[in-house]
Amino acid sequence: MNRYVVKRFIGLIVVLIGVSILSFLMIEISGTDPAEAIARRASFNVTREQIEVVRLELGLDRPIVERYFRWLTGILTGDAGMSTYSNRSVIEDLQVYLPVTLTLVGLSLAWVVLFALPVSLVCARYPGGILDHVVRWLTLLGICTPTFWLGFMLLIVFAVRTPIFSVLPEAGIKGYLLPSLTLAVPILSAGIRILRGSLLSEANRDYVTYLKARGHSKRDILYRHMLPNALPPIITLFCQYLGYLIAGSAVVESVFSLKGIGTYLVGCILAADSTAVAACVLIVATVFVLANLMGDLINRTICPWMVRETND
Amino acid sequence: MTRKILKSPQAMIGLALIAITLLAAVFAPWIVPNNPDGVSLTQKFKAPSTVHPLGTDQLGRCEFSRLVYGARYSLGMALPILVILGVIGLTLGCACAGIGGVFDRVVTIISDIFIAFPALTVVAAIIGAWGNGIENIVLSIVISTWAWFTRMVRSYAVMEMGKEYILGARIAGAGTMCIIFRHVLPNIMPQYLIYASTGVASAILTVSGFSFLGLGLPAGTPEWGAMLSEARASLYSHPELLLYPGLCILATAAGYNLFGEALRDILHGGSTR
Amino acid sequence: MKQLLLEVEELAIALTRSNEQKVCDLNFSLDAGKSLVFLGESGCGKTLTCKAITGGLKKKAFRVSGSIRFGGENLLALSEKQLCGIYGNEIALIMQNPMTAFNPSARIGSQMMRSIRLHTGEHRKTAFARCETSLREAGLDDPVRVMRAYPFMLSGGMLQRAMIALALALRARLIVADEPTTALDVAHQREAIDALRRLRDNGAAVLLVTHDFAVAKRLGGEMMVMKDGRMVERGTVEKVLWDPKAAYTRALVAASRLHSVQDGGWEDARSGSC
Repeated sequence: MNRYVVKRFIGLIVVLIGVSILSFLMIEISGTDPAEAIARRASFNVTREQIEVVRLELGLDRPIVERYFRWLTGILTGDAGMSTYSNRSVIEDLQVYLPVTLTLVGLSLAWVVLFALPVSLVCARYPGGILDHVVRWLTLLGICTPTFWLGFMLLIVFAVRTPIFSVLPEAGIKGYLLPSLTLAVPILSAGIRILRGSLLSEANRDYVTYLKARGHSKRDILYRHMLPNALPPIITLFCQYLGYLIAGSAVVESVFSLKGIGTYLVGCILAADSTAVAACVLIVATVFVLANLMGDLINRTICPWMVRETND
Repeated sequence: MTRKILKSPQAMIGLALIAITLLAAVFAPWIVPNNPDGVSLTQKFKAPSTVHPLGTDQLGRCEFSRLVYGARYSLGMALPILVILGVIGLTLGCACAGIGGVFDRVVTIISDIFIAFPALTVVAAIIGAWGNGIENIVLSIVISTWAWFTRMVRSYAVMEMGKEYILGARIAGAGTMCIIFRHVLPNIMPQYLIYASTGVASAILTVSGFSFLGLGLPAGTPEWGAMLSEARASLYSHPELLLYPGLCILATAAGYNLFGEALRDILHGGSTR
Repeated sequence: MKQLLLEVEELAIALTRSNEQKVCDLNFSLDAGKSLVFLGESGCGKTLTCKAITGGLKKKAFRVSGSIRFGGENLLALSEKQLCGIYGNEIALIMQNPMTAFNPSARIGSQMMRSIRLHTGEHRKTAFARCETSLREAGLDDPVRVMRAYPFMLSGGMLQRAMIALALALRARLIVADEPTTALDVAHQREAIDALRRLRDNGAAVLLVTHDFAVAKRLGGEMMVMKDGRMVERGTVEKVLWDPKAAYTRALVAASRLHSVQDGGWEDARSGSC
């Protein structure tokens, strides 16, 4: 087991390095001149010399390889550099924007866990029943629903027509309820579909027949035997979505006027702020690969037989 | 097989939705009653009438006409994206499964990097670099999602190559290329098509999502996501302008998902029912 | 008249979806200490009959009529709760494919003990001891290692013996073995049938389903040949094999004789050696 973890960890580092290089490259090819963008912010008519001064000041004249390594060493020592977009240190920016997104994403995932498990279990307990059919159709609609549209619909119903919530962000958890629900719906739908499908395919397996023939009750079979075997696909899904959520929350943040990482990221990209972009991307990618690793480890623990199957 | 598709209500509803949106996209110029870009400030926010079946929007343009043209944009971007992703995914995925070794490892690591990379960044970077435009949206979405397709196809292909008949083919003297083209590819096609149909739905959602954020299309384009973004200001006054484009996106995506799911049920004998 | 352990009357099983009749008008009985072999080709309905007895038929997919009396009670008329008390406890199943019979994510010992404690309500330690003893009785030399292992770590033969051990541990009165030898290699096949014989000689009733003559011969007892859901012939194993009355049975025996003459088999179906 330990060798596996070490091997995965090394792979993880390789991926993260690759991601950071890619993010620098991406900004480089974007062609926008960050020095020019900053200079133009100060005054509309800028001369070449003024732009060059800005460039020298921010060290943007150095070759990209040097800039990358400077950034890398900075990251490793805890300094993520200065954001040319916001004129603050990236760390400061992250301290403002990251918590918002993390709360949003955390709450969304809480919804998913809260509902996916019970709903799927009930569907598997009474397959073909009314609830099962309703759930099938609802979840199908759920994965087709554009999140930004759903956000607006929820706002219309709960903030415009009936003023339970406000259109602008409120303080505390209340301000995160609608956005997190919006973000959660597609994932909840996908999750229920996968878990339900997984449970249903477990129900056809031989060991279930044998358990029934040994006198175990349906409840016992479902919770103690089928469920652990059915969990791996949804755990994998969960962990894959974790990374996607953090960046994909940009859309929801836009609808609900929240200032999170998604919004910050878009702004930085459009301002060609490679430092900030690289830092954000690194965070998102780290969360993603760590979550995937965690998911794999969990799966291997609850289903030891997978260890043998996935040895590639 | 066609009979089974015809018998399944889910498949038929899905096909119907797909057909409606495709027809709307293809025949838009002949179907619409008005010019989708026809701004008329005197006709703002009009209620539905015979001239404007769904009324007008905040700039007096015919809502219905814009919605129909929206199909052109959504499908016009989502379908080419899927075709390109298909070519890349099938080629690379099968190549990885067939060649294996170092090639496989390298491609896997590269695709891992791209998968870990948030899609938003890629899209914003490319749009920021090369400006708005359909080709750029298509390009950026392809770059951010090719890795998923490759990985999926690779896993299908690897599973297929592990089957015994492939061993038989090898013993009979078939080379790797022959095995891939004659055996692996045709046999993974059904699974791939199911994955691709849900891919179309997700591409439609992605495309409209990015348009909503303002990434990619010039202002005023009758694309559903962009229309939603423009209608934000009318949240209090005319919320229905927010309703229509979203419903269109939902219906189009639903068509492909419904069909894909029905196809999966048919091919796997209803194991997910 | 003395009540027999298992009495099946006019059993009929049909698929609900297509109304296809899979088993028609089956009548047979089995008493303690006796064995009955169902012989027939694939699709003749023998496995379905087994499933009907051990509760493996999906309620919605099949329509079952007739009666299956076990110890006087009609299993088809009992509630789920009552059936849970009987399955495993009084009626034990030996499944065809031992490699997939157990939950792949739990250790064998844990699974066996759960089933044991479900019916006996024993303490963990007692259940453990009982489990260990029955695994040894079933022919496994290192029961503790088997109990600590996950199913994928063990061979088919060992898992088969674990299933037999479970039947022993719960002192089941009726053992239903659904093609227990099909997934085993020849050496283990012999041992599996011998284990069933021991169970029978110790007082259990054994119902064996197979398509293999040699297996039927080795178990002995009564035999019923089935085709297309109906009984074709009945009698003792020896009698049916030596002197088949029905044309179908004759064809089967002839085919098997040809087969065993050609490559020696592990026993000639008609030879008397045991």
